[in-house]
Amino acid sequence: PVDHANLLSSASSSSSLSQQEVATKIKQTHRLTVLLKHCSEQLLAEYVRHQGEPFSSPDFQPPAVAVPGLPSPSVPPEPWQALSDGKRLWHLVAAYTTLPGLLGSVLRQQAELNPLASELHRQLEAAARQCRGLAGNLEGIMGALGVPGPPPPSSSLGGPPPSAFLAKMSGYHVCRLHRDWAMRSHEALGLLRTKYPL
Amino acid sequence: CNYVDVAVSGFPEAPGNWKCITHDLNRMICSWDATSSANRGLTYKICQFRAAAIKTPVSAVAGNDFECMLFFLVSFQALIPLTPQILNLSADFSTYTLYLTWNDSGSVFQHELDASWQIQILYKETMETVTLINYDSKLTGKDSILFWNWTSDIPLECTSYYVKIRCYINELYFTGRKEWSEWSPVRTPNSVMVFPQDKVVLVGSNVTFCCLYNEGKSVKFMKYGSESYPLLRLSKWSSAIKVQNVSASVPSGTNVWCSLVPDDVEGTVLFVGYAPDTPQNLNCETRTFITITCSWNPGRPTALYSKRRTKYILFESPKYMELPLKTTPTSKHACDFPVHANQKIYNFTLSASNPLGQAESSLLIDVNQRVHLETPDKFTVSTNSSTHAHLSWYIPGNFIKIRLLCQIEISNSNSERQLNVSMAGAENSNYRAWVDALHPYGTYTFRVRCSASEYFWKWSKWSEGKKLTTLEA
Repeated sequence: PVDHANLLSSASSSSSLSQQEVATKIKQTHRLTVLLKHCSEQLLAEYVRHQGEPFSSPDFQPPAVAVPGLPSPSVPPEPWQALSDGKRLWHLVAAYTTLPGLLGSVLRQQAELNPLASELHRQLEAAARQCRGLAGNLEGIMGALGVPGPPPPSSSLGGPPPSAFLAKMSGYHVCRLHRDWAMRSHEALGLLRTKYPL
Repeated sequence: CNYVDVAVSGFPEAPGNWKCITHDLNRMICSWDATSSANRGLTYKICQFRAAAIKTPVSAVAGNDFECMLFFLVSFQALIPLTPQILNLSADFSTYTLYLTWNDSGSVFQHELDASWQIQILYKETMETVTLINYDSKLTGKDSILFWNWTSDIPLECTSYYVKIRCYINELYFTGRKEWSEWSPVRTPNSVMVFPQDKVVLVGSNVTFCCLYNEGKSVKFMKYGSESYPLLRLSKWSSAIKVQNVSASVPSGTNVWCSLVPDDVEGTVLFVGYAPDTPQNLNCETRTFITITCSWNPGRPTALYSKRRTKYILFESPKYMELPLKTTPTSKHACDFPVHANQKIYNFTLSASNPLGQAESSLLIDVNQRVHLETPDKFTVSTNSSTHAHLSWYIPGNFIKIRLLCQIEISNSNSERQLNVSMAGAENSNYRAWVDALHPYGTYTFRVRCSASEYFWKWSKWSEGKKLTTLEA
């Protein structure tokens, strides 16, 4: 594919990593997305368990809500596949540099609403750490491929939640978006791995 | 040049109301009124003659197959930012505060720019202006989410509120006119609300909840936790449910939510619990004569947490000093209070309060009669004889004013005896004693504990045990 060739040529010019090293980095990052995918599903389940009905009921699927600062992963599959590798990586880095701040806001709210839910707090902290790790890996790959990254994010949930229910709801949307982005990053890195085999 | 096909009849006249605007300093959008006689096929050719700066005359050439007329129309371009969009407007009814977030669309421009925003608050059905605020920010070449909040002096529930914003870009090098953008569409706070918001009630209460929504919307159902309740229609834009005899809620509260057509969900949370119990087994004692430690049993759990938890305040009467105390659910319930020189009698009152009520316990003590020493530390035993042993230990605290009673336990494989020794108290000091009547070449285990001598209150814990073998005879 054209963009692969261009990326490769720009990669060799702009970074010292060999293609082998780039392929290794992509493989490691893909493995990280496997972990993130599993943990994000666990986090969402743990989160809804502590918020009470309707959050904890299986058929609770409120319409997706845009979280300020966090790009939406709901770009339909076709256009997402049509994006260049660089553009996909750009979107992933934009999301994963924003998510730690949002997960931090959710942790603060849950420390207030669910002070005894230590496992939930632990998972929120771990998720923020994993997102920072994945963002770092993705930025490394973009640098190796010579693709400019997105600007640093401004990411927080804005003013204090005006009510406990809105706090629960905004936390739910962040955890769900975290799970959706984990699935999308897992797909994207899987695709990248096929293009950069070891 | 760009060609624009417009039908014009008669001898072509200069196009009227000619103006060019840019939203992003990149693309220019020009518009004009075709003259009334324009019913014969005319083609307009717009050519922009680039002078040194952005400000250039723009010509429109009107012509058809056989006539061509060149009009030089000098128009001052105008920089009018795109109409901003409010992302979210929410209301905190408890603090009368509106929270506004919007996207500054900074990515429209390739470089940093100073931007000014006007935020207009209107209220009542007549949409009267409450206030107009100017807010400056810097566009950074990427989209940023901006936040702002405003506090009303009357409750937000009293009337409808509306917010709109507009933008002005102060591009110094743009010499054309700079104008405010259009106002954003008016927004009202999330107008689907469920009341009461975050209320705290006693177990067993009956509570009515109402769900307010925009006219034209409708409620599918309203639930308290997982239970659906019959809807009571209050008006075209509100419905209610009555919940009887509510039970204690989970830490994050019981959700009350209304499901709206098509699939919107709005809700509130009810925190159901108990008023604080009277603090039980209030006990105050001193371990070191430096501080008095009061501890208690909170009694029945209140099922309320965080900012709704029970807060304890220990003060000593006559209100000598109110010592605010912050306890968290997981910690033991205790609090330290300084021992005052020359004060023997302390009249403590422990107040417990939460949003549902208040309770208190009191205790009067003579500090000399409530000495509970720390465990004896650095306990050593030694001997240089076949029948005696020397013991030494350390106890933290200032006991100069009292005498101590210490009990030494001496045990070996077939016997155990206890020896009571009275000694003067000291300050952060080592204490010594010796034991006689031991058997030569006998192996013994020693340990010690102490208490106040004159007014016995409690023994300290035993020190660690120490083994010793006396010398041969």
